[in-house]
Amino acid sequence: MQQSKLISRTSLFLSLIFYLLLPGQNTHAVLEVEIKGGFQSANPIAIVPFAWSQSGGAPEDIAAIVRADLARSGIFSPLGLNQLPARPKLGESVNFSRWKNTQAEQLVIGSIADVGQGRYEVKFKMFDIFSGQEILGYRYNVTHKNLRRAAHQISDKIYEKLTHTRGAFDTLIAYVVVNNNVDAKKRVYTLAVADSDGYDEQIILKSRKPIMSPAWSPNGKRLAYVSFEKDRSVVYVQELKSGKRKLLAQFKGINSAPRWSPDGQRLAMTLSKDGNSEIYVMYIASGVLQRITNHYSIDTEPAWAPDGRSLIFTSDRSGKPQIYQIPVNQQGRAGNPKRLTYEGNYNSRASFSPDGKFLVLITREQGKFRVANLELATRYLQVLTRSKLDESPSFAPNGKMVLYATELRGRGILEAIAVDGSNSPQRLRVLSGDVREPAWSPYRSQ
Amino acid sequence: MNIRVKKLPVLLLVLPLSFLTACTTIGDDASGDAAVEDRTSGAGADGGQNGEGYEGQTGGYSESGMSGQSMSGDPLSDPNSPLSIRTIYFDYDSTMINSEGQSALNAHAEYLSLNPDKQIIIEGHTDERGTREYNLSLGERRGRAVADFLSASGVPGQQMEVRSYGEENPVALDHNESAWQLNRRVELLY
Repeated sequence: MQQSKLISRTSLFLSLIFYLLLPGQNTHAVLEVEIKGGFQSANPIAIVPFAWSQSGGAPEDIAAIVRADLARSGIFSPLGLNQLPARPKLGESVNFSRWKNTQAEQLVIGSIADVGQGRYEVKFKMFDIFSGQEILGYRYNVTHKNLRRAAHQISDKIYEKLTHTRGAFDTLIAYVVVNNNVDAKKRVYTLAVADSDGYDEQIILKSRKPIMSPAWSPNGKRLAYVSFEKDRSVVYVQELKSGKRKLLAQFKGINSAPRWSPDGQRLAMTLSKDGNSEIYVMYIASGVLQRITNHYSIDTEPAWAPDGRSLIFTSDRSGKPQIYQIPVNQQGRAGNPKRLTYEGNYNSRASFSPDGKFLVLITREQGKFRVANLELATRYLQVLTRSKLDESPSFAPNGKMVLYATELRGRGILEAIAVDGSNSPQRLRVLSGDVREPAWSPYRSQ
Repeated sequence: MNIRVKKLPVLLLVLPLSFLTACTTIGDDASGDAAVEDRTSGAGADGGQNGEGYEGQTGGYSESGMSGQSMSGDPLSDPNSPLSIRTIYFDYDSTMINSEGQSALNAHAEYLSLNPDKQIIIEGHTDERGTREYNLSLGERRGRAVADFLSASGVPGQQMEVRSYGEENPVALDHNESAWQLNRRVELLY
């Protein structure tokens, strides 16, 4: 049962070649990690460095990437290298009694081998230490370029096996980097895309003028963003593979905050062409525009409900920014806005969790701007961070983590935090310059 | 108006060049610096056409920099004119124009009314606190507050364009109140 599910999923979303090792092996002693609010202890897991028997060093430290992924999730605490009692190899028998003396509940053993023509074979197995049973095993055949991606897919397999939730390590993040020179003329803004751990950065756009608000299309193939290259904010949509882009909105005034509808056909955005900031929906193919809000206050930062039947947005119609929800349909506005946030006097830039039950947003608390999670059913607002200048929170596609921008010792950095607040913020790889405006991609499908 | 015109030539003679350039470093857009270049290029296209009462003159200053220089005829390039105030500052989360800002804007309103061929870009900015897209709209609201003030003082709408950079174009990069004060601003770009 478990395995047939795994097989069907693999065919869904992987471009890499891999298959189950030892099909037919049964899996009884699965130690599950319950993901509930308030759990305290992360699951200790041992990940042994993947064996490499050819000349030179291994082309990539797969185990280190997996360890970092799992640690970042907050759900696992991988053992350090000095805590490993042995370094068993695949195919050898494992002396589990030695591993029982560690904290670890699972043991991951793997190997990497050069199989010629620029390709590598990466294999791993995961064992339950208590029972000594193999509970997971996969093999990948990848190019050098895809070794890191294979490591993230291994992390996803381990995560899914132990939490019964799809992993989101094999995903991408988009963000903006600026070398924050005091002289505005010397600033360079870069829109980039990288793996979910911040590695393998690819540059999408470089500009002397600010870039804002990257937003992923639901199929992960396009980005909408705001660029000031025309000396004012306009909205572009760019295809990632070809680099081809289209200027979608350059009305008088502000063109900002593009967000894709779940069906991928529309962009919600903020335009001030009719006097002040209002929410609009634009059909991307035809350019047909629907006005959603109509108020003299600022209405901006739209985001779609996962069912596509409503938009949430920030409005200061009550005097201070708060989150509102308004029903929409194919014809545009389909009802009146309803206020969702009441706690505090500054709540903004909300987005829905994939299951539609939570909003992650920025809230002001004693003058500090922090990431908070709002449970819609109970209106319980949980502040997740302790920092001062948080911005741009977005959910991982599995809804378990939130990625956001913050400031550390004067520099813009990216952090991720478990959405239940169970761990401390995890800093993403520090890149040069000020990093801001992160957006987590949907699951990758190919 | 007359008073200012009479005073100007006297004051200009004693102004060292360094002061002239120091006044114009805030603009972060090439167009904001255009007025500076007018000064040394002698009588510009606007010289003597603006009804301001004095002729454009060819500039020139001594090597020592001690003696004064003459100006082109446009008070826009006069560092002692209230028109040299091109930045209006705001309180946190506010679009209120303080009295200092109002007196500068009164001068701009007068100048723009008398020079219907002049255009300005009114560029709104915020500090870094709060979310970026909301701040982009807040910057526009500040710009609009300035445009409304100028409009109420008789400047036709077609001479003005409001733009916003939100928190994206700070002039001070620190993360404290003194930096934030400098960044909460509207810039007037001729």
